[in-house]
Amino acid sequence: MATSSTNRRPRWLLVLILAAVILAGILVARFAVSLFSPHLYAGTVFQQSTPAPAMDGLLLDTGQPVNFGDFDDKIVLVYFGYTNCPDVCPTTLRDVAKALDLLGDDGDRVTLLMVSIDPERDELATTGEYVRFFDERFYGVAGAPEATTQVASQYGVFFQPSEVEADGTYEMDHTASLMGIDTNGDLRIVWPPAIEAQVLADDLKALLT
Amino acid sequence: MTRRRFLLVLFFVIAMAGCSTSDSADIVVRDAWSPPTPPVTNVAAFYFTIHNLTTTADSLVGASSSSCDEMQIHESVTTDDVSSMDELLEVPIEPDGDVVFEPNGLHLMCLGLAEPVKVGDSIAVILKFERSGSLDIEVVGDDR
Repeated sequence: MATSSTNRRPRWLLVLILAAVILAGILVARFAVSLFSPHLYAGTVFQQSTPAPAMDGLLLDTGQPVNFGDFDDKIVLVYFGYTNCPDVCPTTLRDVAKALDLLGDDGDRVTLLMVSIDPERDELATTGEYVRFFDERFYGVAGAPEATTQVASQYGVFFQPSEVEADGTYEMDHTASLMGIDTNGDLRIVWPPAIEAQVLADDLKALLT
Repeated sequence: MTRRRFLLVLFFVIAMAGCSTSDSADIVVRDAWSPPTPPVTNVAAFYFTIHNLTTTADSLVGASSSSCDEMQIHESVTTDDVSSMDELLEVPIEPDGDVVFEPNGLHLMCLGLAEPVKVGDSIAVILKFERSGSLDIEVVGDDR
């Protein structure tokens, strides 16, 4: 009786230890996978390094020409929009501002340039004031119609005025994608219109690490 | 027991009669809001959810507000990453159906906004329905 009970006890303990080891193994493996598996980007990532097209003829609302080397190792987001836009542009700017807030201190390592695709109506200073209503880290970019058309086409951005109404008002049809330029000045990623703040924040976090 | 049941039936009859005589409850608009707007622009977008509580189809056919020179019913449409806005002359609301106006979709566009929308502001808007007539709503400035 006494010997059989001492024989049984280690076997029971062995099973328990084995189960604990297997469980620990699974947890370690899962952690390792999450650590080494690459982040799955919501945006489309360029595989080859593609220098961001120059914004010749356009100015930042600081009065300076746009030079992607001037942004202190920040990711530069580029959006083509206009200040008389009621829905899609302000929604995008709000969502980018929310994404930067979600990043906490890392949000300071990202900036946004809104290039006005309505050069007939948008002044440079107005474009800057407009975007900084959403986030103080944003800049406006504007210039002459010809330069705007030239830069937009380099970025694959389409824009044209919609039907002009009797009182002269019009809206703009425009490519509403968001683009990301990395700290080397390469165009790295393009997000489709209406990207959610959390999804954008996750992509930006991966780009920053 | 029978008297109690009679009172219960009477209660429901009165309650249903009350519902059917109240025209304003045909259409209910909930969660009407506007994001705050930058001072340098004079356009805004208003969002809300329309509930049709009747068994008859209705349509939103227009809107007006003393805060806007003009209001248009718009839908933002994105095709091949290009966003454009379609002006709609009417938005059908199915019997017992809901229609949601939300960012990047249906919205009331306010042109000639009198003053920038700030958080907590209340903007009086009149919605016009084909069948139910006019409905007064309050659009609230909301930084959600």
